[in-house]
Amino acid sequence: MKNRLRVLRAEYRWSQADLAERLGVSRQTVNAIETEKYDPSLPLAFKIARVFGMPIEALFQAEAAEG
Amino acid sequence: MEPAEKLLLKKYGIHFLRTMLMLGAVFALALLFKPEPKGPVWKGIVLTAIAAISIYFLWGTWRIIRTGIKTDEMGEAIWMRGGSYAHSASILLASLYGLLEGIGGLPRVSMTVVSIVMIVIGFLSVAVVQRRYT
Repeated sequence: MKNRLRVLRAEYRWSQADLAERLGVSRQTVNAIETEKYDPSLPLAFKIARVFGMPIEALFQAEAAEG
Repeated sequence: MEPAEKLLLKKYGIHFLRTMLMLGAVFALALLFKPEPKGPVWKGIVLTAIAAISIYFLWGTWRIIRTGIKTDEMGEAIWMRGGSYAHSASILLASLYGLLEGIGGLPRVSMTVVSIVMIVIGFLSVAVVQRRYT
C-alpha cells in the first residue's frame, strides 16, 4: 500500500510526534506507515484521512492489482 | 526532491543539530567543570553522560508508574510528547548537575556515588514496573 503521509505531514509542518499525538498512536507507528512497512487498520486510516481533511483514497493507493 | 521532502529534511536537520548542540553543551560543561579539580577529563564526560541517561531512565519509569503502558494497534507504547520532554529535561538536569558538581555545589557528595545510586534506583524501578505491567 502506497501513501502520501510523509509529504502531507511536511506540508503541514508536523513532526512524526505531532501527527502521532493527533492520531493517538506512537511515533514509531507513524514512521512504519510512512515507510510502508505497516498498513494501518481501517479505523486508523479513517482517522488519518480526517486529520488531513481528505478522503482515504487521496491518501492511500493500493499497489497495482494482480490479474 | 519535492519541496515538501526538502522541508522535512530541513526540519530533521535542525532537530539533529539542536540535539548535537545540547549534547555538546553537556560535554563542554563536563570539560569545564571536572568532578575533581585534578581528575581526568574523560571521567567528567562519562559521569555527566551517565547522569543524563539515569535521569532519562528515571523519568521514563515515573511516567510508566503514573500512566501505565498504553499501546497502539502496532503494540508500540504511546508516550505522546513525553519522550522529547524527558530528553530535554535529562540533558538540562545533567548539565545543572555537572555545573553544581564543578563549582562545588555538591562538595560532600562524590559524583561517582550519586551516579551509581541513580543507576541502581533506575534499574530497580524498571524491574518493579516490568513485574507490575508486563
